[in-house]
Amino acid sequence: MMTQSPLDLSEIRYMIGFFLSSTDLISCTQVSRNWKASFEPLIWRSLWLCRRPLRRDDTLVLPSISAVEQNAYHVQHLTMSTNLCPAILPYLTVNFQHLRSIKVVCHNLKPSKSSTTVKINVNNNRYNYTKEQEEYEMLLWGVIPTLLRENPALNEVEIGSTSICSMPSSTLWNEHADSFFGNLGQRVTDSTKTLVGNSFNKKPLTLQRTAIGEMEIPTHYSTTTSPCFIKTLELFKLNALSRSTQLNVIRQCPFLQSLHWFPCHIENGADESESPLSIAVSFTASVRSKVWSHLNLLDAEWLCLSDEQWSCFLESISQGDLKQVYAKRSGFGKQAFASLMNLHKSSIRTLDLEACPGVTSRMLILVLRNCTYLEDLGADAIKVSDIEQLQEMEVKDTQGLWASAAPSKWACIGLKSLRVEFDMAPKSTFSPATVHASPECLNSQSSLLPPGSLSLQPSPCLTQNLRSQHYNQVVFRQISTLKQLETLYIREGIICSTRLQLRYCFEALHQLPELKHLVLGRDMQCFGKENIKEMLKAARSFQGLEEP
Amino acid sequence: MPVTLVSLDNENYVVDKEVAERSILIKNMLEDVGETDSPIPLPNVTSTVLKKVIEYCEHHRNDPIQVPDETDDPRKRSNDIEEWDMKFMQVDQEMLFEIILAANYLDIKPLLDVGCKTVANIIKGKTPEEIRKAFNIVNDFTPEEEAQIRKENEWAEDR
Repeated sequence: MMTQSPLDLSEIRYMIGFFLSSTDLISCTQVSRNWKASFEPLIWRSLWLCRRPLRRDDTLVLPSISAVEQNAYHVQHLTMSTNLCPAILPYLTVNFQHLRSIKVVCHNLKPSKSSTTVKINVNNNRYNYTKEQEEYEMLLWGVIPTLLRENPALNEVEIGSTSICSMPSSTLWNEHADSFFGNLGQRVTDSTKTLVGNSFNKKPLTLQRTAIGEMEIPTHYSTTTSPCFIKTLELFKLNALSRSTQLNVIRQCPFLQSLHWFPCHIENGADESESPLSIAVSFTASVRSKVWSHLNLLDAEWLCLSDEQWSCFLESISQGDLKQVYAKRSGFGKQAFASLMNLHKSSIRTLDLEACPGVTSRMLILVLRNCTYLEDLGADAIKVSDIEQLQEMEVKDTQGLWASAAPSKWACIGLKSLRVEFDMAPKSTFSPATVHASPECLNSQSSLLPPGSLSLQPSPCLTQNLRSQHYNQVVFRQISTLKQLETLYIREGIICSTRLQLRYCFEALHQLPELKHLVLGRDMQCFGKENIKEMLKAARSFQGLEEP
Repeated sequence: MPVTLVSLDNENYVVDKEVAERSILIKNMLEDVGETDSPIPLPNVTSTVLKKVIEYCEHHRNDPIQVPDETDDPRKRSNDIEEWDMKFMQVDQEMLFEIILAANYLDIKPLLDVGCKTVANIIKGKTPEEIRKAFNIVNDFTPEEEAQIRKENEWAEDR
């Protein structure tokens, strides 16, 4: 062994080959018979049935079918391009057995002289293909489940690309749904660009970007004994799926813990084609009973679900687990609110109701007063007048007296982040225009008085000023009870015309030991960042002002 | 605790147990034999090579033990040899081969990897004829056979 060269040992050749590129391996196979035997299997570890981006020439060369069959044993990684389908299909019927990964890519072939056909050189056979490509792609989809079944080590199937790929027809889908949703499908993983991926406990299922046709989730699926075990589902930019079909998909996943439902492009007309009534009906029909017992997170921001749809959704989620609801820019309103309060007020931690026209100030105050575990609230205007009114009502009820009320308890003492707008408008008299007056109003004439006249009553600005001071106190006293608050984001609404007023308000914030971030609207900028920071020196965790 | 290693030509080398155990072969031997002072014979390794191997193990005595994996990566990279190792491997081809054989025999995977990577770097970019020249290998193909092989594997070329 001493005089022997390590290159005579096949296991050492194998190890060396591990570090070589394909091209170098090819050179090695031509060195001698021994070398060919050692290095050739390494070449076959990766089978590329696609264009190689770094190749110098434009032609594509595929190995012969017989070569693939002979070396199928060695193939562990398969990369293929759907653009070459007619040429590829024969290869996919080879019995590989040791596949570990499959990657399907869609490369845009560079156009040859003719714009509709591309010629591929496969051992001197020329394959032309045109629009039949789509059919072949469908067949490709059919092959993947078979490969999953035959290759037990196959753990990674990546199907996707940056450009829109075709989706299987409903017939195909029906035949192979099990592979993607059932037990076999657990080995189909996703990348950020994946078309269809499945998961079992670990990775999310992302359905995105279908471009062709309507994808019907087979109805038979709901009656099979093995339901879909997906825990995290993201529906993202599903162009051609109608809302009700998407809901159908969601319904197939009773173990869902986390749902992100992003809006689709309406341009495709998929959603418009359904009448609002039909959507509503399908929602109600679909979600009549408690479907989801474990749902923690419901994210349907920007999806523009209607109030009724939200309500249906919330009603179908079992009590106790729903922690996060993101309903920005939707029709969330009275009905949804009622459902939320009925079922989920004790579990909700994050609630985002920004830009929901149906959400009233009272609803928000009731949320603050009743949702004990609320940690994060984002919403639009909370009218301070409502806060006061509700306090008064409460006091009147319990004591029958009019007493100056201590701030009635907001139950959400664990609130960490509050992002709202406080509307300081008093209940009746003033029009909104005068409420958000700038400090200059102290000097200028109010629009309510005819120019030049003297006012015997205190000028509207002054009264408004006093009132705003009062409201500020109401608000800040209330906020000062939220001892866990870390982020306070007040977009608009605090009316402080002098620094003294502002200081007074901020004193209340000193009592918040956890307050780290304060985001104030434009109104406050005039006081200067440094001044504000100085006023908040006493707040021990305070880190600084942030940009709105 | 010191361990004595004896080369083919009867040279003794005393090393720390920790250093010696970078070789899985020696590690297993020590486990089998138990606490003992008797030297370990390595009849397949000459003294010059053993000296080099010990030098490697001394330098890497604190490296974490590599977990064997032949998963994932269809192709490992050969350009991540650290600087000390690269200098260490600047030896003539005969010594390089001896080191590889010794590392294989003594089962020191990291050293074996470095050796193989070094050989791979020699092979990189060479034509078959250049490879044969570099390693003194006899060509047992006919020219037709050689051309046939090249054609058959053309599909795998990535450049």
